[in-house]
Amino acid sequence: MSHLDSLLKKYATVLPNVQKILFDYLKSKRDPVTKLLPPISSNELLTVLNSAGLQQIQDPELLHELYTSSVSSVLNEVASLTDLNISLISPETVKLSVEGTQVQMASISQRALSNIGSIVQESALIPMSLNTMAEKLKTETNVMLGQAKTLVNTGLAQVQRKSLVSQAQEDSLFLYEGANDSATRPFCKAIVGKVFTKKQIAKLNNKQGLGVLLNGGGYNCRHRWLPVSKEYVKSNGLVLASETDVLKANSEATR
Amino acid sequence: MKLKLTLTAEEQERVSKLLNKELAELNKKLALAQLANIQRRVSQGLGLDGKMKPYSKSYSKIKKEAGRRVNVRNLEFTGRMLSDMGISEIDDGVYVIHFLTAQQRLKALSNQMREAWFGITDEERNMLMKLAKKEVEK
Repeated sequence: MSHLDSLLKKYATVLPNVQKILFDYLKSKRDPVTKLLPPISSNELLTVLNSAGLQQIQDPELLHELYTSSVSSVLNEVASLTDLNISLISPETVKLSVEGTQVQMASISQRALSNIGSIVQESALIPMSLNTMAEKLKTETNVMLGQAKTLVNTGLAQVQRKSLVSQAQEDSLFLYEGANDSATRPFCKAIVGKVFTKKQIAKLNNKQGLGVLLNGGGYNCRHRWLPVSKEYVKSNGLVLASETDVLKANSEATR
Repeated sequence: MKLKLTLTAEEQERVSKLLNKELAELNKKLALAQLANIQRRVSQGLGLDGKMKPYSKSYSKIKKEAGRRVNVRNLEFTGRMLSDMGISEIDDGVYVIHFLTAQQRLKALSNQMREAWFGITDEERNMLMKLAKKEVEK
């Protein structure tokens, strides 16, 4: 169970109240001319909720976790009442970014792949937690929940990487960006923060049967390829990867 | 020696189209550069107004137990929110940086309400201007 899920469970009885209070608060604070929602600090949130008798949640960090989970329904309600567009760009543009992108994984059935693709596309417009997406996949394909989470997470990451990589220009290089912590795979540790050509990426092998350009280090990988120009690399002093880096990463990869 | 080039209306239109195409490519390059700027800045725990506040003790504990960095607020646990950033051309040559999926967009909004991180700093603006100048001079 994820951190957010355990919080949601713990505060299940409080959440409807949190949503109602937030909804009323946001509605009262919305700018009448621009229709924009106000920025809310943790302390402000805490004050609002405390004044409504919800003193159980004292930790601003936990409060924001709850806020994140409840904000979608709050904003959707506000939007439905006020014609407020919560997205900065049109939903159609967002939808186009993921539409038509097919998820690829050799180890699972075409039906499951197609289902993952549909769920990810749906998630462009409808807020869905990873758990909700995994539950959907489980219902539609009978895979176990744990496997469904990995498949959906990997499928989503694949679509995200594909969307960005597809915007690369002819002369683009690719910066491998993301976390470098104790949970990072040795394969990713060997290449994170370095800049690669597309040819070098093609030589990388994560040994998981998944292409590195769209899947990074493999299943559940948290990293991304950022297309950058040669001038960007030069002016920011970024490190260009060598053939040795490619060989080292490949030797660190595990099945 | 001076040369005067006279273009027909049709040729002028073709030149204009070529210039617009070049300009669109430059704008795309800058959008991708800013996306990279945001990601690299946030990975160092920096928001639009400098260093972001540290995580609370309770959240730090959860992050630490999962093997994640806790010394800076890098807005990264699963990586899904930052990986969700993309660019789209919303008009001829006009690019926006945005989030692909609704859940991550809301998560980003919630983080933005707490402390501004999505946007452009003065330093980044200057860097983009220099980058644009270099590209034009090529």
